[in-house]
Amino acid sequence: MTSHGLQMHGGDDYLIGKRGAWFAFAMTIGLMLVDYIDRQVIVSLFPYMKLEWALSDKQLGALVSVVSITVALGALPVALLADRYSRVKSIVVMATVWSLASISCMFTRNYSQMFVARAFVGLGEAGYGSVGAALIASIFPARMRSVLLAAFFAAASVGSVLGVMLGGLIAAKWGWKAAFGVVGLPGLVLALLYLKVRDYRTVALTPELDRATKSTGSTAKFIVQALVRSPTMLWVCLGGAAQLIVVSAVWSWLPSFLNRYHGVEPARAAVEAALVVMCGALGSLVWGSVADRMAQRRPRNKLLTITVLCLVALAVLLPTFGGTGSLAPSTQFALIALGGFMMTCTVGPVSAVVIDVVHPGVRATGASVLALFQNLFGLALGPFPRACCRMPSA
Amino acid sequence: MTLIPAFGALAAIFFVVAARSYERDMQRVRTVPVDATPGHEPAAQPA
Repeated sequence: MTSHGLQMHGGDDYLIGKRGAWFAFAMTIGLMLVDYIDRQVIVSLFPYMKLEWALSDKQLGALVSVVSITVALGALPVALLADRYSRVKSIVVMATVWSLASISCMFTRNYSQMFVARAFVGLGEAGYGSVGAALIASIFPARMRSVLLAAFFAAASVGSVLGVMLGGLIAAKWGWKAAFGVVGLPGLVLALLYLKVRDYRTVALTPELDRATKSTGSTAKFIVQALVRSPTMLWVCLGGAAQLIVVSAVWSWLPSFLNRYHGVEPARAAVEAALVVMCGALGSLVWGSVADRMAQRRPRNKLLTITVLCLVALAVLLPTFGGTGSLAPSTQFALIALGGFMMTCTVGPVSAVVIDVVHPGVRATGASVLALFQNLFGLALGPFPRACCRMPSA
Repeated sequence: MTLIPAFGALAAIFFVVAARSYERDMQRVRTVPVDATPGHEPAAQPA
């Protein structure tokens, strides 16, 4: 590495020094936690909102959907902007917008105002995952990419669980509106501190890439062409999405499964399901680290490692769910937890591989394409298992 | 819930296919340099 911090793309050194890199990582992962706390806190406030504003389940659901929709719509343009201008400044703006929007929910007087405020939360959060991933991947040695990105995305799971827990606790003590204000403040503090994070210089593009990224429309067209030309990116996006179907289905349906098949009370079923989610968060870290170690011998071992792990997860979960009725409930739950620990093996490595194969000037954009695949085909399809497997109707 | 884990087999197939082109695709972008933005450089050591 030169004295000016020049690093080759596949470089094995800290771009901004070890201390700077770990500070950036702590800030970035902290914001990811806060992102999902702010996103999920509203779920635990539904009973209060329903009572006070006489809302229907459809209206309550729309308050969650609007965030997902604005995130999905805004992710690619935001990532593109961040790639071409500044990762750090983009993140500061994003965190400020979503935190202020979250705090503003505290002052809303009716459903329409709340709906608009939640839309702004989504707008602020759009693209954060991709831009944060691009920054982390660029400032750390390439040999650490899988485990660091796994940790970064695992923070989303932890934040989701924390958001639901904190919402309930704060609402019980200070009222439901206070929950939005309390969870919104840390994001503002972190956004201010984030100004101290050192960025990497915007990478010059080839003339072709420069022309292609002039607008979101031309970028979208270029991405489709790039997916066809760069087979790795296409297959990894599809693989990541396929495995996420498993993760999403298990996480979404586990509380209902425990309740319907084992008579577990809904509140306890939710806690047990949260345990499986935490096993998944831990598993993504462990397997991200294993993938990085295996890749040190030969890079493609990263993909072969997660291939094996996906098959092992399948070997655990298939007979586990198939053995309902013949397995003791505690045994079945332990095996589900083990499967939960295995099935998130792709989280870090898949992001790392995408960043490995895209031009460094569009890393955030590449990561947002992966996110799009995973959200559209993975997370969206996962909770609809009834068409292809047995679940008793309610 | 019984059949959903089978999507893991599909994922495995996709990853095996991706592994065939991964190193070649990585090499194509490997030489593009990434710079740090100006920051606090360590003070020069006296001669």
